[in-house]
Amino acid sequence: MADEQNLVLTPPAPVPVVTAEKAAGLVPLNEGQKSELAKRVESFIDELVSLDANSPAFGEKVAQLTTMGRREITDAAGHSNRFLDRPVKAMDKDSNVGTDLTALRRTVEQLDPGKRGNLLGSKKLLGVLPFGNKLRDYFDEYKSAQSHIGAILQRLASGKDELLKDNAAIDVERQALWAAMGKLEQMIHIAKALDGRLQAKGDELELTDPAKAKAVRESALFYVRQRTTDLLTQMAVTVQGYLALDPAVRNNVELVKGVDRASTTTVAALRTAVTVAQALTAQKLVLQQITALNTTTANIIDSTAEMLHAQSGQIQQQAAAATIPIETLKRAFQNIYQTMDAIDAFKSQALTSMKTTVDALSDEIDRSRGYIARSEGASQAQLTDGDPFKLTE
Amino acid sequence: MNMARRDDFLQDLGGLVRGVLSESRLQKQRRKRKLMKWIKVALALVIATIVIPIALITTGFFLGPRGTEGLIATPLAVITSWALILFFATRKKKSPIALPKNEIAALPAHTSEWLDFQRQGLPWAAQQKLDDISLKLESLTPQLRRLDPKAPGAIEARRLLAEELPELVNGYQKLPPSLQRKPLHGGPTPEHRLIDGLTTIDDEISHLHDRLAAEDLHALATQQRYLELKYKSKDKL
Repeated sequence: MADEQNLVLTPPAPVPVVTAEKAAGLVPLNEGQKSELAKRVESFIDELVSLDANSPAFGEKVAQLTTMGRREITDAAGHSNRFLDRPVKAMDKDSNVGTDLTALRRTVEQLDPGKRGNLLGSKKLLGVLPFGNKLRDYFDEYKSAQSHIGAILQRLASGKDELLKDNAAIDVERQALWAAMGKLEQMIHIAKALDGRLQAKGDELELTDPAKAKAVRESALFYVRQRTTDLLTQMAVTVQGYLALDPAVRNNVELVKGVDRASTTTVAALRTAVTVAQALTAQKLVLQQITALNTTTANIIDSTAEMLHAQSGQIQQQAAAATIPIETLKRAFQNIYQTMDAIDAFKSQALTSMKTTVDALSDEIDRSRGYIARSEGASQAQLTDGDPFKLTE
Repeated sequence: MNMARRDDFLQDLGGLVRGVLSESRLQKQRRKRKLMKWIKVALALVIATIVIPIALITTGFFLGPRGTEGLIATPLAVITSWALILFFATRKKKSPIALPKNEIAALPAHTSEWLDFQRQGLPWAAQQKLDDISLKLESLTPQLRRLDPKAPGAIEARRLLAEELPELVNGYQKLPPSLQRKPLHGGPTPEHRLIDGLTTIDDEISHLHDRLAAEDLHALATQQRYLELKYKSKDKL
């Protein structure tokens, strides 16, 4: 019960910035892949070295290095750009749910017994003549408010569905991103292997064929290093994007919890009102809409059924004791407020953390755009050239 | 291991059978298209033969009989109309570059038709490639139909099918036949370059196909995961 009293929603921490140097190696490659890639590197180097350094064929071979991993970079870039709006979208969803929660709070506040003064006193006409029953009037208000509350709770339930859908989409995107990262990792592995092998080949040729050694170092090795930077930069952006999805998921999960709790506490308060009305005024307060909500949406409001079951027993006991039934009702309303305050606090914290994440990601993406533009420009010049490092699907 | 090899073999066989079937499907389609065209031409000829004399007789009623003049003018007009209809029917089609911008869904069919016209002068291996491309274009049509003409995928498809592909084929056709099989500066022959170029375009169409389908695949996977999150894994949340 203590746990239920204090709803704790933990805002996700901002995602740390991933540097290009640390980006590689996050997606492990297996030995089979590594040896396959090494073979390709070896055959490329053999072919390159067998060519005359001044021939156009050598130039063509070197040009292949400039477009190495073009498709992998473009694919990964496409993904990261799509991911950028994920945290932003998550913040939008917040605001939808937020509107409904505000509406719920406003409606609930109107029914709050704590704001009604002494409900047990009798109502007086012109302040003097006894006229009607305050308590009876108060419980009548529930009947008129119930359809409104029911509608808000339904909206919250569909808002919760939206959040779940969002998380489902993120899960699927995460898989796609993981695959894209695996491919980038392979290209980075190739680039690094090429770097090492070209360096060694250059040193080896230094004695026998200095001209070729120079060509290997100044053209081939230069382009490989440039390409390695491009690949690593894109990898950093992609990893950043991948990590940025996590706070969006957690934000949604926490918000779902909040929505569940807000719905539960509201329904609990209304149920308490029913019991209290029965105890105090012998009035049968029939809240059909809410009862209907309970039965039809028990599975939507996850923990509701279970929690209400435990609670209603207690309420029954407290109300039957009839010592302080109004106090019980007041406490039920306090529960709603606590939940909503917790959600509000969570949202403002999550928003800050999310903004930090989005800013970091946009910076990274801007930086990688330059590289992509360069690789696109290079690829336009030689569209028909085969890619010796083309990864199989 | 043996099973795997057998599976591979069966897959190859399946591919072969599919290839033969699809080729005949392609030919059937081509034949059907031709037949439809000539039915339309025949219909136009019949309509012209009936409508023109009736029109001339009707004008005769209003403007007074034309006598011998009318008698000669009627068959002349009919024959002229036949000549015009046959001229337009047998005329070679223009390249699809002139395709209007909003007709992205018609692009694959149009390109397919255009490729049919180009087949004759091309080497056999290139014709095979054209058939491959035509088949892929067929499956691209429903995807493009759902696309906004201004979407990046649509722009890519337009560039590939309406600009880059015709440019490659026309570039080869422009060459004098004597040079088509002659290696250029010791490099590959133009014929070889044409086939390589067509292979690249074929691959690119496959990529486009996959990319366009990616969104739908994504949506389906998302829906499945959503249902799982909502109804199955309550404790996971």
